[in-house]
Amino acid sequence: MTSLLHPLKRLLAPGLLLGGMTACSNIDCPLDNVVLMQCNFYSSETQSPLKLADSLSVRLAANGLTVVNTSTGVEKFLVPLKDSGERDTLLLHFSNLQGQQATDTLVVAHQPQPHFESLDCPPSFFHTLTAVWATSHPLSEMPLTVDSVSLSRSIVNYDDIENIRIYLRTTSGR
Amino acid sequence: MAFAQQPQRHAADTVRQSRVRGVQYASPQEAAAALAAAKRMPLWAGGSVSVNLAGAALALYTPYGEYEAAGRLNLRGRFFPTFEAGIGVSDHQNETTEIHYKTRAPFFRLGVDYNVAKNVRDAGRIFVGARYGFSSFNYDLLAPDVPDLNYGTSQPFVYQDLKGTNHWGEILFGLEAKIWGMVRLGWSVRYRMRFYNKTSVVGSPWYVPGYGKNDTHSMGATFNLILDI
Repeated sequence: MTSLLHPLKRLLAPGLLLGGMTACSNIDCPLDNVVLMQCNFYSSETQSPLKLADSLSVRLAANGLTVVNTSTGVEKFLVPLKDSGERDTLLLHFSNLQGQQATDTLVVAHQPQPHFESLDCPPSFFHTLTAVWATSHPLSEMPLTVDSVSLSRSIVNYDDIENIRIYLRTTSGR
Repeated sequence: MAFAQQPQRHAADTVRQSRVRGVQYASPQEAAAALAAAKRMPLWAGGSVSVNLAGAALALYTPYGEYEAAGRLNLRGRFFPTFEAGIGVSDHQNETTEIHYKTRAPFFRLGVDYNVAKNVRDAGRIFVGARYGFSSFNYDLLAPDVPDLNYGTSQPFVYQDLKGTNHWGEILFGLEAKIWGMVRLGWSVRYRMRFYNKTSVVGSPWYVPGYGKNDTHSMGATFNLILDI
């Protein structure tokens, strides 16, 4: 019996230790698991990043939901895209201390893609941006307007990375 | 091999001669060579079949596991070409996200173990080895509707018969011991590296039969009941 138990002990001890090690688990989900499109502001004159001196509000045109609420010093903003549609319209509302205000429209065309990360992570929808365009208002109405827009990264996923560049034109050269 | 030297006709030598037992060699070198030859096993030294008890226990009591069997050859007690095959199963729903993952598919591994034990005739073996693994499988992914809180809508998230294909490599370390007659027990711990991962319309599969949780690398272990044949 001793001759049987001896090799068994030697064999099983490390096996049980390894079994204990492999029993550990972790939650397999990114901390940031919200899918948001990132828009960054640039100066159309200098092509460099721009921080807004005026106030900005951003609303979803479909239901009026406010995404950015009268913020100043904005360099970028994050906005959710529709899971069930292929086009989103955003209303960019600019206002300044002189009481001037104006609204430009940003339209984004995209393809939603269902995404499964792991069982620990809620299912979500990524998006592939296919086109973006915008309207401008006269500078006489408000001396800050959208000049042009461009796609810089078409994939919208968990990564908060610039997707759209919004070039702004001003009369003051800010 | 040489026989004992001719005995001399002295009384002391006669006494020494009477105490000699077994085979004698002319030199230590010849003795060592003879010992090595005696320890050397034939090229075809047998084979074995085994089942993975740990994989079956995992399949029964955890979110995923494998029903797995293997066959291997024994070449000179050193090299053990091995073929492993089984059915990987998972039928699990996460309590928090309520995502249900389901698959039941075959997998295959082919490789070789090398016995690093000094004496290949020992009852115990110490293995290092490598495997190539493959599985092509279908899986279901069922989740509650995904709410879009910003627009007040929801989208169904039900995908069935999604296709997955994975290739991977493994390096392993293992021990095994003879328990009784032809019966052995052994375990191995394995480091797995993914070579290829086929994604579906929703992304990568969560569990790959024979590989484990799908990632660029994973750890695994087996506990085998082995029958020498």
